[in-house]
Amino acid sequence: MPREKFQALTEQMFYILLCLKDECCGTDIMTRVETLTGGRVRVGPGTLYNLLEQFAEADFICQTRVNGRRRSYILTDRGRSVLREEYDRIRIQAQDYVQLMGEEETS
Amino acid sequence: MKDVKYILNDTDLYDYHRIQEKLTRFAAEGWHLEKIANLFWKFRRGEPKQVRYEITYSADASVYNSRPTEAEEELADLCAEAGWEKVAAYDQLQIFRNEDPNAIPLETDEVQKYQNIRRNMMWHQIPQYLWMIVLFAVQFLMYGSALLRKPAAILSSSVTLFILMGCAGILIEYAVLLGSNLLWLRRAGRTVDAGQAIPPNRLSRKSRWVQWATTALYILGLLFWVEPAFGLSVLVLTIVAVVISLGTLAITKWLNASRTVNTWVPALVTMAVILLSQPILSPLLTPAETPEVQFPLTLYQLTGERSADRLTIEVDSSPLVSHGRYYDFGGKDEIQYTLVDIHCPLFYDMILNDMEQDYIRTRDYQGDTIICDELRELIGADYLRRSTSPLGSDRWFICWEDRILDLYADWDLTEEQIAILVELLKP
Repeated sequence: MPREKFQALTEQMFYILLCLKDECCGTDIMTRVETLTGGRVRVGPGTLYNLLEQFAEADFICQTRVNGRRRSYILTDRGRSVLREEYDRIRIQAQDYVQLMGEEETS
Repeated sequence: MKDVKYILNDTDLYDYHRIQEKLTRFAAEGWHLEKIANLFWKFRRGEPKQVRYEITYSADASVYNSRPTEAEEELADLCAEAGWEKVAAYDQLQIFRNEDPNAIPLETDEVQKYQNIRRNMMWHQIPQYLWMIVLFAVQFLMYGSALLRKPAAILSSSVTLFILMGCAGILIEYAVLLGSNLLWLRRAGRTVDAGQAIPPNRLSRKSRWVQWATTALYILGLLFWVEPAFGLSVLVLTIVAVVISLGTLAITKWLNASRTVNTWVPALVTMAVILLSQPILSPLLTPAETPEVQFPLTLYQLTGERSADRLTIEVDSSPLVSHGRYYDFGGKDEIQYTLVDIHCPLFYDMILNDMEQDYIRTRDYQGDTIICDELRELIGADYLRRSTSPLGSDRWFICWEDRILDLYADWDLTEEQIAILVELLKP
């Protein structure tokens, strides 16, 4: 089941979905992810191609436009929900970290 | 100085580590990949350069597609935007190059990369190996069961032995290839789950040696094991079939035919050409006629009666067994006998059991007598059975150290005739 497959998103998955909150084509996604993360997260074209295919299959994203061979995508409601769940998971992890490690460690 | 060279490809399609290493090394020496096929890769001379080659796989790509699929082209476009130029593709293999050492890698997620490789292997390579194993296992079992039913006849035929060993060799080859790739997939999965990079497929590199060894043995067997004219004809026929098949595929792809047409038409055309050329090929493929066979024992030597009808039912010989069935009819009397020489002691018991069962099943008189040791020692045999029928037939089953005789005469042999028989047929 796709939901179990994407139960915990990798950083690359997370940022690709995040960038697709607005309509975006495959090429621009690579640039946006790198810009957004300051170069910390980079998505290779082969990885991006496979993930877009899997996200579309799992109904996390849908195709909006096709211009020649350039396809544009945007998050679906399901995709937004998955992204939100991942954000909640990360946030709770961060809170648990602060709680355990104390304010001093996190400043 | 040549500007183009062709390199024999001995790398598994999914051993991408090795492919990348080789291409990078060649580029540093000034040889840049231009085109790839299954066996030979084409390189063109250029400036020595530090070039990065990276590989990915496209599951819907196939050697039977006339053109790259839409998915392949989309992938190529995406890669091109990131500075990766598509150099060549064969089957699912897609090769890209980039001269920028700082360019983002083609794949940045080892888990995704592994899953893509696994998907491609499980859809394409693994089923192909399984089909070959099933096909040749069926062939091997068919010939194997024939061996159990007629061991002397099968073991004495160089051609049949070659086919049997050939099937076994191919079975082993594909079992090794399948096993090594499945083991690597499992190991790679565990490594990636532990957060590490996919390890190189070193097992497949070793298993390629098995493939080359099997191919070499097949060719050597055709040239030196079976009759030379027959073996050479089969080899030439194989090469012609491959050329016709590849040539037809090139034509259908040039005509932009569908994948289904590209898959089936070359195979059907090749089969049709071979079938239609049978009248020309048949004399070449039939093992050379042996000169008139010398009968080890004739009716004339036993009774003085001239033969009216003499024929050899089966006469064949291999390094393992020589086997002959002879029939000599004189108008009044007749003899039929099977004479088997076992050159390899491993098969003696198997052949003995089979021939003795045949003797028991086909003798005229069901109650035979085990001859007393005196006569057996006189003949010098290890084992002897005789069955004489009230109707006047005489059936002998004699086993020497490496020869077995099953002889039928339609009269009771005299002592003198037994002595002649022993003198002529005892090894």
